[in-house]
Amino acid sequence: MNAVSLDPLAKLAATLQEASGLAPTAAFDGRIDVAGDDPTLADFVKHQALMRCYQARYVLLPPEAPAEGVLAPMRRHYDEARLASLAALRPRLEVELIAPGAPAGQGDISAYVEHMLAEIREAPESAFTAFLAGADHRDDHYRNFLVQSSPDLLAEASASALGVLGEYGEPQSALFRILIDEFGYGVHGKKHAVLYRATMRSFGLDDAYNGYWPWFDTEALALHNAIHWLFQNPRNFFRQVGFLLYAETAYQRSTLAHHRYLREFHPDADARYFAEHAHIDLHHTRMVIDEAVAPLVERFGAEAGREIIAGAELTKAAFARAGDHLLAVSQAFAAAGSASYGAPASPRERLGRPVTPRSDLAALARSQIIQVGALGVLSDPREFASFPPAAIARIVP
Amino acid sequence: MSTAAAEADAVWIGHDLPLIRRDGIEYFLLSARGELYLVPNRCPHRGGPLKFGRLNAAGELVCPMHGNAFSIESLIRNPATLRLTAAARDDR
Repeated sequence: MNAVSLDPLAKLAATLQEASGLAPTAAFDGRIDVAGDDPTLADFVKHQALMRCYQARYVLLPPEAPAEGVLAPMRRHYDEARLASLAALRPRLEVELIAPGAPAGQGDISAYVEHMLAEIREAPESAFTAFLAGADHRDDHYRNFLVQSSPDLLAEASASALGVLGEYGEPQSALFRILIDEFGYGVHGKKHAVLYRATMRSFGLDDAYNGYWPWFDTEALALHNAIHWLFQNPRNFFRQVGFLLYAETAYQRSTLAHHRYLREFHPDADARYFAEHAHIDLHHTRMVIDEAVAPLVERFGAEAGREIIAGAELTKAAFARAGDHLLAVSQAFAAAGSASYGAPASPRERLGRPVTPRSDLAALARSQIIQVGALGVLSDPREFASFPPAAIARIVP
Repeated sequence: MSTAAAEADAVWIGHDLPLIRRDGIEYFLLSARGELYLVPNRCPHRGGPLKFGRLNAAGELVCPMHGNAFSIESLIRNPATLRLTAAARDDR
């Protein structure tokens, strides 16, 4: 299958812009960027389009009725022809963007689980929280972390919910109980996405789902899309279990590190999201291993185990890539001489065109400045050239 | 038979009986060592329905939500647990 060319994506961008209207609420803002004459933006806009494909059928509502009423923008946003065009594009984008990072699994699942648990237990402190502890502008770096993590976490477990549909025996009930916890066991204020929203607010950020979509960089989108890819097709069922195996186990450690960091350096921040995960994921790890992995492997043998390993390895690689990238962007920004810190005040309005570190930065006018995620601006855009290749900035209009 | 297994044998849980609601609390029926109790159905961890729990090898009641285990003794000692007594009544 050939790579998706940029022309149909530009047409899709125009369709999505039209459906979104001039000043859409975040719920019905389905826009993506246009690569234009900058080929270095290709992966970025493709990942944006794939994110829109995956989220196309999520039920989203604005906090209050828009001026034109709720039904008109809803009908545009969920227009059947628009949904069909996104669905038709999805497999081609997946082949190009996700499949190369999803190799087959190898090895024995019991040994794999044992090794994974030991590895995570003995892992050193998170490199990102260690960096933050010594950083001068840790508030700003943390804001960017929250923004870059928000594509998935502000609708947390919506992707994995697809994996509990159907009828497949006792493991289904175990996975459903995990899902219940993700949704706050039915108590809205305890829903993980609602807790994450509270953390964002406590850092002065907009808490709307996709409220910062123009600022998600390529790696943040790639992580979101890898997770969603797993859950789009039941063909990946055992890999989905592998995702849960790795994610639940690793997350209990990483969220504990974030909770400790927030308590020490941002005592007024709302850290309940991280405390909740550090606790409940201990249970979820056991539930996934004892109630899903073990019975599924007993029932279906070693080939099921290898698929579970494949899902866990894909997840591990995606998390590691996103984590390494986020840290590298923060470090590059901290080292830039022309940097000044601050998140975009109106994150979805007056959007300048995006650029990558490989864009023709020298061609930007001398007076132009660029905003990097929620970190801040570079008054000398040429400094962006030393950032990681998947970083994204936007020209401040 | 081990002591724990004998204890477990002496315990019976009203899995299939309806919950009993009193003063806003839901209870399930538990029989242990010849006594009947109404035990709060809500797991103190995350509110899981203890009525659907199973007894583990140690004779503890295991919550179906997250696997938290409670000894029968601790359930009986819970101040919210009610012990049922039968009183003879002559309605003639």
